Amino acid sequence: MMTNVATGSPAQGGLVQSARGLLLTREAGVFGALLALCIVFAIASPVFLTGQNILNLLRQISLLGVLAIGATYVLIISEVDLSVGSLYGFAGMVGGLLIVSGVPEVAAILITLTLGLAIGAMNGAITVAGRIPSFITTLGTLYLIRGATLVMSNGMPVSLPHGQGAAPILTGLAQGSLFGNLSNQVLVLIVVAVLGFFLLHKTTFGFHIFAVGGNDRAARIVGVPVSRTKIIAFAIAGLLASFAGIINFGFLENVQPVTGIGLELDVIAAVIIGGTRLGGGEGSIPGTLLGVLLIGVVRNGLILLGVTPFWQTTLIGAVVLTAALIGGLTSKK
Amino acid sequence: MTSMLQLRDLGKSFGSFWALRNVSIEFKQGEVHALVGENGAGKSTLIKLIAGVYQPSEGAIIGPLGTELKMKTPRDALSCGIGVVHQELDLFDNLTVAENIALGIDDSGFVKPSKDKMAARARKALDELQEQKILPSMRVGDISSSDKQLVAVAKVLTWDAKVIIFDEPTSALNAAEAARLLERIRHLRSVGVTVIYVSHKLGEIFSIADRISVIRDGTLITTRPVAEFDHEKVVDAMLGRQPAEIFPVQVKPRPTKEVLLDVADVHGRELAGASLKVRAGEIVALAGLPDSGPSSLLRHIFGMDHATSGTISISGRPIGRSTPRAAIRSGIAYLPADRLREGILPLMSVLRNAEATDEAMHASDGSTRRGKALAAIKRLSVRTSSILNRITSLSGGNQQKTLIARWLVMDPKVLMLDDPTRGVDIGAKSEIYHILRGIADSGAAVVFTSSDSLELARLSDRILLFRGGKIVDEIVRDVTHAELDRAISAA
Ligand SMILES: Nc1ncnc2c1ncn2[C@@H]1O[C@H](COP(=O)(O)OP(=O)(O)OP(=O)(O)O)[C@@H](O)[C@H]1O
Ligand SMILES: [Mg+2]
Repeated sequence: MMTNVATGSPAQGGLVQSARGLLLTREAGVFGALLALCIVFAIASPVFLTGQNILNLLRQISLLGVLAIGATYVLIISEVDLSVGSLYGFAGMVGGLLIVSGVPEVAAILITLTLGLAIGAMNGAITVAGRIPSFITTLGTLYLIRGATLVMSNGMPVSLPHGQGAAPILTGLAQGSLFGNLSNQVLVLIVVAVLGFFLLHKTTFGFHIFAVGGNDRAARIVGVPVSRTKIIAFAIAGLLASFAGIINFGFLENVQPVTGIGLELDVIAAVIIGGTRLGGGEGSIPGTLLGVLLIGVVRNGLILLGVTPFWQTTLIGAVVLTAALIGGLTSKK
Repeated sequence: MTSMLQLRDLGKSFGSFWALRNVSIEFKQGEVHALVGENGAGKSTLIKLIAGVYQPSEGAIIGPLGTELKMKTPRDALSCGIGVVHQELDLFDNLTVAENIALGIDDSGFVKPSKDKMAARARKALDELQEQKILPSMRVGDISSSDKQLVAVAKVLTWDAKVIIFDEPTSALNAAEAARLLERIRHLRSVGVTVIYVSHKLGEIFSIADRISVIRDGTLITTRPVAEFDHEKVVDAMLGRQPAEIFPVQVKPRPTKEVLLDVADVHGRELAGASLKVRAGEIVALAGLPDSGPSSLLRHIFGMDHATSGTISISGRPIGRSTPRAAIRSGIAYLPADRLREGILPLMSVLRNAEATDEAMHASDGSTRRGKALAAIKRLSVRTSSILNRITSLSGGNQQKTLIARWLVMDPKVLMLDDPTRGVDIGAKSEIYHILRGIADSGAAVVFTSSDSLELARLSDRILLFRGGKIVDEIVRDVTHAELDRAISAA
C-alpha cells in the first residue's frame, strides 16, 4: 500500500524516493526472512549456529550461487535459461573425460569454459536471430546438451584416478581452503559475485542489461546494441554454469551423466527469491546472493532437524511462492 | 541559408503498401520546419527514416556536405547530429530520469557514468526546460505521462544535435508546459539548430514554424513559408477538402434528464473529496493540471483505483469496490490516456482490437459483434490497408480511433475518455467530436479530460475545474480557451 501513495504523487520527491527505496526494501525483506529462519533453526537445533555448520552451509551454496549470478543477467533481460543444469553436468563430463584421457589440466579447464561460453552465446544467438522465446530455445538445448553428455559418457560415470594428484587445480579450488576452514568454493563465489556485481551495476554493459530488460524496443531506438547485450548475457550464464560444473567435478572427483538434472529450477528459484523480476528490468546481485543463502539455510536447517528431503522440496516451493507474492503485491499496480 | 538535410525522392514501403513515396524536402540550417498531415499520412514514417529506425526503400537522405547519409541504426543518426523525440515514448520505466537521459549518449565507456554525473546532466537538461518538479532520481515509471514527455524532450536536448526532430512532443502537455517547450525551440533556432516539428496542434505550428510541409497519403503536397498559409489553407492541403464545422453546435442549456453518474465526496489516490453529477445527454469536461484529479477520478469510476471513502453510483446504484469488468457491465466505458500500455492489444488485428471488449464480456454473439465492430471502424474512418493488419501497423491517431470504436460497439451509458484526441488529426478530431455529441444526444453521458483547452471549452456543455483532488469551480457559460488556460493554471 505504501507504493500506492508513492506513485500517487510523483510531484513530491520524498515519496518517490521511498518508491525507489522499494528495491532496497525488497532485498531487506529477503534479508528479514533469512534472519527469521536462522533464529528459528538456531533455537530448534544446537548445531545450526556452530562454525562448522555455517562453513558447511556456505560451501553447499557456493556453486548454486555461481550459477544464480549468471541467471540474474538472463532474467533481468526478461529471458530465461533452462539449459544451465544440463550445461553444469556437461562441463563436468567434458572436463573429466579430457583430464582422464591425459589432456593437461589447464587446457582441459580452458576448453570446458570456452565450450560453456560458446554454448551460452549460442543460446542467445538462436533466441535473438531465430526470434524464438528463450524458454523454447533453452528447453531444446537442455535436452541437446544432456543428450550429448549421455552419448559422450556412454551413460557411465567418470572418476578421477585416486591418489595421484591428477587434477591439482580443480581439487584445490573445490576441496582446499586458503583461509582456515573456509572452503575455497566460497572464495570462488565471492570473486564471481564481486565481478558480477561490478559488471551488472557499474558498467555500461550492465546499464544496457537493465535497459533491454525494461523496454527492448526503446533500447533499440536509443541505440543500445540489444542483440549483442542479450547474447552476452546468455554467454555469461553459460560460462558460469560450466565453471560451476567443472568445480563440482573437482569436488566429487567424479561426475554422473545425470549430474545437474533439475538444477536450473533451483537456480531460477534462488534468483526470483532474491527479488529479480521475471518480467525483466529489475534485479541485483546482492539480492540473488540472499536468495541463494535462503535456499541454503532452508535445506541445511531442515536436514539438521531431521526432516526428509521431500519436505525440504515442499518448503522451498512455499518460499518461492511467498517471495513471488511479496514481490507481486509490493510492486505498483 | 545552408541546407542541413535534404530528402531526395524518399520512399518507404511496408510489403506492397507505400507509406511514403517521392518525398523531396530540404531542411535549412536554423529553421523550424513543420510537418503536417492527417493521421496515417506518413509523418512518423518520414521521421523514422531520418532517424535511422527505418531504411529507405528508395531515394536518399543527403547531409550538409552533400554526401548521402546512410543510417542503419538510431546511433548512426545521432552521430550524424540528428536527434529525435519519438511519438511513442522511448523511455524506460524501470530506470531513473537521470539514467534515461544518460542512456544512448553517456554510455560509450566501459564503466557506467557515476550517479552524480548522470544527475548533473539530467538537472541541466531539465533546467533548460525550466522544469523543477521532476527530479533526476525519480523512477520514470512513477511519473505522469506529461512529465515523461518532458523527460523525453530533455533527453534529446542534451545531445547537442544539429537537427532535432519532435514528433508530437506536446500531445500530453498542458498549455504552460507546451509554451515552455516552444520557447526552448525558438532558442534552438536562434543558435542555428534545425528543428523538424510534427504536430496536430495548428496553433503551435503557426506560432513557431518558419516553413510548413504538408503530407497527404504518403506524398508531399507542398512546402511553403508559413506566411503563405493560413489555418484554412493548411487544413485544405492536409485533407484535400474543408472539414465540416469542427465542433458540433453547442445548445445551452441542455434539457435536464436523469442523473447517470453520481460521485459523492470521493477520496483516493490524487482525490480529496471529489463530487459531481452527470446527466443523460450531456458532455462534461474535467479540467485541471495533470495531477489535480481529472484522470484519476475516471480511473476510480472505472474500478482501476479504489476510493478510500465516498460513493460512486451509476443510475442511482452504488458500485462499491468495483473492477473494470463490473464497471463495463454497469454500462461504463473508459478510454485510457496511455494508449500504448493500457489501450491497444499489440499482437492483434485492428478488427480484433475493436471487438475485444465485447468479446471479453460475451456481450453479443459472433456475427452481431463483427457487424458492430465493422460499423464502428467505418464510422470512425480508421485508415488502414486492411482491418486484419496488426493494430501496431497503424499510425498513432488511427490506433486511437480504433480504441474509440471498441467502446462504440458496447453502446455505453456513461462514456469516459481520458484525453481522447491525443495525437489525432484535425479532420478525425472533428469526426470524433461529432460522434461524441451523437452519443450524448442518444441518451448517454459523456465525461472527458483533455490536454487541449479548446476542446474542453468547445466540446463540453459544462466544465468542472479541479484543484488538489476536488472540484473547485463549474463553468457553464461560454469561455474562450485562453480564459480556460488561465483558470487551469491558476487553479
Ligand atoms: N511497420 C509498419 N507496417 C505496416 N504499415 C505501417 C508500418 N508503419 C506505418 N505503417 C503505415 O504507414 C502509414 C503512415 O504511418 P505514420 O505512422 O507515418 O503516420 P503519421 O502521419 O505519423 O500519423 P499520425 O498523425 O497518426 O501519427 C499508415 O497508413 C500506417 O498504417
Ligand atoms: Mg505519427
